[in-house]
Formats: sequence, structure tokens, C-alpha cells
Amino acid sequence: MTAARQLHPVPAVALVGAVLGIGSYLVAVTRAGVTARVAGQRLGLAAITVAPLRRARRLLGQQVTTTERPDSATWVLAPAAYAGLAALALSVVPLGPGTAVADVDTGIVVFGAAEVLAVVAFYLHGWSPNSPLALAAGYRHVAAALSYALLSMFVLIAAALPAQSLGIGAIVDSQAGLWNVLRQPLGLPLLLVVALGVTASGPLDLLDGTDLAGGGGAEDSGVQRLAWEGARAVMLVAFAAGAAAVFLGGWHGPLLPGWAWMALKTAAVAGLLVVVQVQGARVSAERFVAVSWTVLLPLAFLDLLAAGVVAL
Amino acid sequence: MAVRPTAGPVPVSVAAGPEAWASSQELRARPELEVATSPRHATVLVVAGPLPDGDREALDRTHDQLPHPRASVAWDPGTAVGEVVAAVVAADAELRRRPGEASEPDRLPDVDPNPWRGQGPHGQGGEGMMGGTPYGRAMAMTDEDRDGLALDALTVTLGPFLDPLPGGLRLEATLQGDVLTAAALRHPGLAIPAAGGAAAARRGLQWLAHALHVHGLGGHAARAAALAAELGRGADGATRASVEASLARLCRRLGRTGLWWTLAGQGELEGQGDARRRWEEALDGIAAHLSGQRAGRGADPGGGGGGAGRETGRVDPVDPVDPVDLEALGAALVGRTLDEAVVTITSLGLGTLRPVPAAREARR
Amino acid sequence: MLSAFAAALAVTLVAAAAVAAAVVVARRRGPRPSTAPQRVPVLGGEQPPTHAWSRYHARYYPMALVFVAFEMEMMFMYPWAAAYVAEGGKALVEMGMFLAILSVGLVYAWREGAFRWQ
Repeated sequence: MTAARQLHPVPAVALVGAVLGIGSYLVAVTRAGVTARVAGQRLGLAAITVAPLRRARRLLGQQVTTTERPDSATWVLAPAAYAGLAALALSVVPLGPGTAVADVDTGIVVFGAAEVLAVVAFYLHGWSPNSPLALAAGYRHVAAALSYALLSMFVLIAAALPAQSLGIGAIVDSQAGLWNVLRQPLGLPLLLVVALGVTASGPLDLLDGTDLAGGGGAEDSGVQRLAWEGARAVMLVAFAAGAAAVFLGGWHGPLLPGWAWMALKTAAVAGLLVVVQVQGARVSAERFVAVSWTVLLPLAFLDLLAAGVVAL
Repeated sequence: MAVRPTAGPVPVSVAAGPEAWASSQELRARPELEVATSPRHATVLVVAGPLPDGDREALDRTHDQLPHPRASVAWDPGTAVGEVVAAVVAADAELRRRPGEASEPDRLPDVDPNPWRGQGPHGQGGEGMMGGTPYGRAMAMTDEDRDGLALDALTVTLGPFLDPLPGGLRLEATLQGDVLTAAALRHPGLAIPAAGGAAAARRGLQWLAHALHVHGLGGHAARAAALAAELGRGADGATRASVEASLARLCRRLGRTGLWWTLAGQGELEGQGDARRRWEEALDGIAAHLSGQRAGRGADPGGGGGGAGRETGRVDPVDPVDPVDLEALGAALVGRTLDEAVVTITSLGLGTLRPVPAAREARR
Repeated sequence: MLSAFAAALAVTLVAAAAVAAAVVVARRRGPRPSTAPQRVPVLGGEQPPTHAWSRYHARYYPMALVFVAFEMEMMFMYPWAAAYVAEGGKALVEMGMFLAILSVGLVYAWREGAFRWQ
């Protein structure tokens, strides 16, 4: 097992900050490009690279409105907790051979915990403004979140079986011969469904859905909104990095250095997720709960069983 | 070919009356604008068309919800879309130059909605458990639920200018959780002018743009709005053919979005099937109007267009004769979740496809 | 190992604090505070008669209980996964039995409509 070089907190913060910052910017650029392409608008590369920056600048100059009796503390806490949990999830993912902020022996547990605690951030995002539409959106997304959380647990545990360890670094090591996406084909699609829910986007955009006039984000404006949208992009990057590490072999790959492969694979997963976000019609929470528990969860059981049989 | 403004697309909130709401959806196609789902995401408020008198206060409240710096632009009926877009861009440029002074002040007075009541220092106390109005508003009262439960019932009026609902429509809903236990729809009335095939198809495409946006497909919605705008520029045969081909491509793309799966089984209404069937009928209707197979109500009734629809007994959803029964619809929405109610209303095409009978005497 | 967790915690707290600080500063030093008409929740133009905070009837309460049951099963699967290959087929059979028993509960919940809106 490759000994991971533990980083001192200061360079760790810098590394995670750089990865999340650059990653979320690239996610925003990709989303702008894909949306323009789907809409049939011809935008040049210069336009889409500058579009997220312009949007951010506009939001920075906008007033942060509040509602009549919000819970201001949790309203601020929601994007902060969400971003913090995304950083936590990224910190247990090895970004290169021997480079991880905290490649602990229980990396899967920490990753799953970050994802499930994000549900609290979702709930607070919907509850804090004290607005009926935001509240309804928050509650319905919690229903979907409870459903997809189980899927991710089973899928990640199945990936941990051949590695004989819960650490993500060990899982990456166990893929030196064959990537998990080929060994456990059901795993990555299920994890991508979870990724859509964890970032509350695409078919699972129940939290900020346009059918409830923006849902939990209806009352957000200015920097409050920028923080929430930024936290969503950051979570997408962190989750994509985790998925790349657990299913696409992490930093394994010929020719290029490990961190470059990791970046490429993360970008591939994130790009695929952005395409699904822009092109996926929203599923109703009730429908998703039913499908998740009756179809997807048995598939996750199958995935675990197959992984168990293969690992022996 | 529009000149891209230097600060990115201007987020715009549209407050439209019933007559202008359909054509205001064409703003979704403009790359200079970004039609926002909530007024708090917008910089400029576009007020479209004649507004019923009862909606003036709601308009003022929506205007005040826009964060500073803000401006508003009036879109009078008959003004071209390009002029409105230019006005919006100019207003936004002005706001960027002088954000402090050019930002519009509130229209409603800065007064708390309810006078401070209650006995305690935080507005608590008073008679009974729900005494007083803490922080200016009452708390929701309990209502009978099921199995002996008594949970709170939230009563809201989703107002005339909410983005997912047609302009001018009010949904007075009582919610327990997100399930409606009472619903009433109010609308000032909308008559859809008898029109030829291209105009009917244009209305259908405007419906499609809004409906796709409600289902989270913003990019596809912009494409549908662009098709509607293209029809608006010219209704000759070549344009109709190209729009029809583009619509067919868009429908194929929609198959990949999973939209049909999400629509199936939702919004079932008596005698009208579910939302998916209404969508399919509407899309067929738009295509038929484009290819000239339906002549529309304005044409010679003996010609076979509207007559054919009546003979086969199928309602032409894009050029219908029968209006929506708001009372029956309100009764049918009880027991559904709020988002399913929005999906149902959207699939019916209130405000674009189907006329709405004029409101009777206001019962207050 | 402790230093690894310390680094992870540091990263988490710094990220959260950065976002929180940015939002708090912007709220305090914004262009102007929100006036009363600005503070009305977004409902399309009408005023809400009551606060939104209420005893909300979450319609998926039974599903949440089933979720808790499966989460407890998860807790047992974490150490099981780490020791799986060492233990061999016995481990597979044992976990299979555990999952089968829970699946019976899952099927029962499904038939009772726990996964539909109550």
C-alpha cells in the first residue's frame, strides 16, 4: 500500500483551495458552454470563459436582501457548511500518488459522512428564509437525499471490498490492474445519480427548482446567492474527484504524471455531470423516492453481491 | 445578431398580464437577457402588457423585491421585442454607471405589514397558544390531518406574477406539508384571438418555451422561444417549414432528457389523461399547424381545419374552442403535491393554449 | 493518523469560515439594508398571511424510518468490508443473510406504501 505523504495543514488548505477554486470555475465555464450549445446560441470561447466571472461580479454588486423573519445564522451557515463538507470530501481523496490531504484508513466513511451531512445544509438552505416555497423545496429535497444516500453507501462499500480497506488511497491502489468501472459496472452510474442529488442539480434539482420559482434559492440574492451557487460547484468538483478515484483508477495511467490523470478523470466525470444537469428534466421527489427504493437500491444490492463474489 | 453587452446577460424578471404573458416568453431566446425565476435574482423588471387593476399592488410588491441596483422597463403592447431588449440593456448600463442614484426606490411604503402585537418583548404571548403576531405575522394554525393528527396548514396565495404560473393566475392554496388540501384558481380571464395556423403555432411554441423552463430544461426552453420568435418574424411557407424541422429536432432531443418519463402519470385529469398525453397532443398540434394541416378557427370552417378537429372529436390543444374550467381544476388539484399542481397547470397551457373564462363576481 | 484528521478538519473549517465570512461581511456592508416591502417572501406579489415555519407534514416520514434502519446496517458493513477478503465466503453468506432479512422489511415497507407520499 502506497504510504500517503500527509500534508501539513497550511499547504493542505492551499491545495484544496486551489483545486476547488479552479475546478468550480471550470465547471461554471462548462455549464455556460453546454447551455449555450443546447439553446442554439453560438458563443465563442472568450464569451463562455468570461461569463461566470461576469455573473459573479454582478452578484457581488447586488444587494443581499433578507426576508421578514429569517434565521440569519443558519442562512449564512448553509452555504458555509456545504462548502466545508465539500472540502472535507475532497481532503480524503488522493490527488496523486502519495499526495492526499488526509488519506485516512476510513476515507469512505468520511466521504459518505460529508455527503450525508450535506443534507443538513440543504434543509437549512430551504428553512432559513422563512418562505413557503423555499420550505417546500427544502423538505422535498431532503426526501430525495435520504433515498440517494443509501445508494452511495452500498456502492462505495462494494468498491472497498477488493481493496480490503476503507481508505480511498487503498481503493486506488487496488485498481492498478483493472479499474472499478469495469469490475463493478453498476457502481459508477449509481454514484453519478447520487452526484446529481448531492449537487441538487439536473433531474434532482428539487432544492432550487424552477417549478417552485427557485425554491430555496428564491430568497437569495447577491453574495448569499453567489456563495450557494459556488458551494454547489465546489461540491460537484469534490464528488467528481471522489468518483474518479474510486471508479476510474484515480491517478493510474501511462505517460502522464499521476496528478494529471487525476485531473483529467475528474474533469471527465464533472463534464458528464454538467451535461446531464443541463439536459435532464426534473424528476418529482415522490417519483424519485419510489424509484430509488424499489429499483436503484436492489441494483446496489446486486452490485455489492457481484463485487463480493468477484473479490473472493 | 445582437451585440453582447459587456457585463454578461442582464437578469430580468418578467411581470406580465394575461394577454402579454405568452409573447413575453420569447424573451427567453435572447442572449442579452437571462429570464430569472425569482425577482430576487433580477436586475431589471419588465412589465408586460396591460395589467388588471387588481394586480397593481402585487406588481409594486414584486418590484420592491428586486434587489438594488434595479430598474424597470415597461413593455407596452405593440412594442417590438428588440426595442424592449435594447431598453433593458440601456437600463442595466445606466445602473452600472450610477448604481446608487439610478436604482429605483420602493413603490410601497416602508411599513411593517402587521402592527406589533403580543405581550412579551419578542411579540410572544397573548391569548391562547397562538396569541399575538410574532414579528409581524401570525403563525400557521393547526388543521385536521389524517389518523387523528392535527398538523399545521399553511395558506398561501401564489400570486399573479410567479414565474412557473401563467401571468395573472392566482393559486390560493392550503398546504399541509407539500400536499394541497384546498386549492382555488383565480384568473381575470383571457380570450385567445382566433388566428391562422402560424399564429397558433407561435402560441404553441411560446407555451413550449415556458413549460420546458418549468421542468428545468432552460437550454431547450431558449431554443423553443427562438423558434417562436422566428415565426414572429415571418409566417411564410419557408419559415414554417424550417421551424417545423427545428421543432422535430427539438422533440427528438427532448426524448433524451427523460421528460416523457417524468411527465407520465402526473397531472391526471378526468377525460384528459395525464400531462404526458397533453404534451404530446400539444406538440402534434403545433406541428400540424405549421404544416398547414389545421387552418385554425379564423379560417373558413368548411375548409376542414377546425372542422376536422371537431369531426374526429379530438380537441385541438393548440387552437381550442373550449376554455378551462378553473373551478373544476381547483377541485382536481386537491390531494396533489404543489409541484404536481404546477406541472398540471403548465401542461394545460392556461394563458397560452387554452382560453380562460372571465372571472365572475369576486367572492370575498 | 491524528495529523491527517487535523489537516482534514483544518481544510473543512477554513472553507466554511471563508464562505461564512464573505456572506456576513456582504450582508453587513451591503449597499443598503432591506426595507419592509423588500422583505416579503417571494410568492408572486401577494403577501403571506402567516409565517412559513410551521409543523410541516413531511410526507415521507415512514421512508425516513426505513432509512435509519438501513443506516444502522451500514454501520455494520463498514468493518465487514475491510475484513471481507480475509474472512472469505463465510463473510459473504453472513452479510447476505443480513441483507436478505432487511430486504424482507424493504418489501413489506414497499407494499405498505412507505415509499409514496403519505
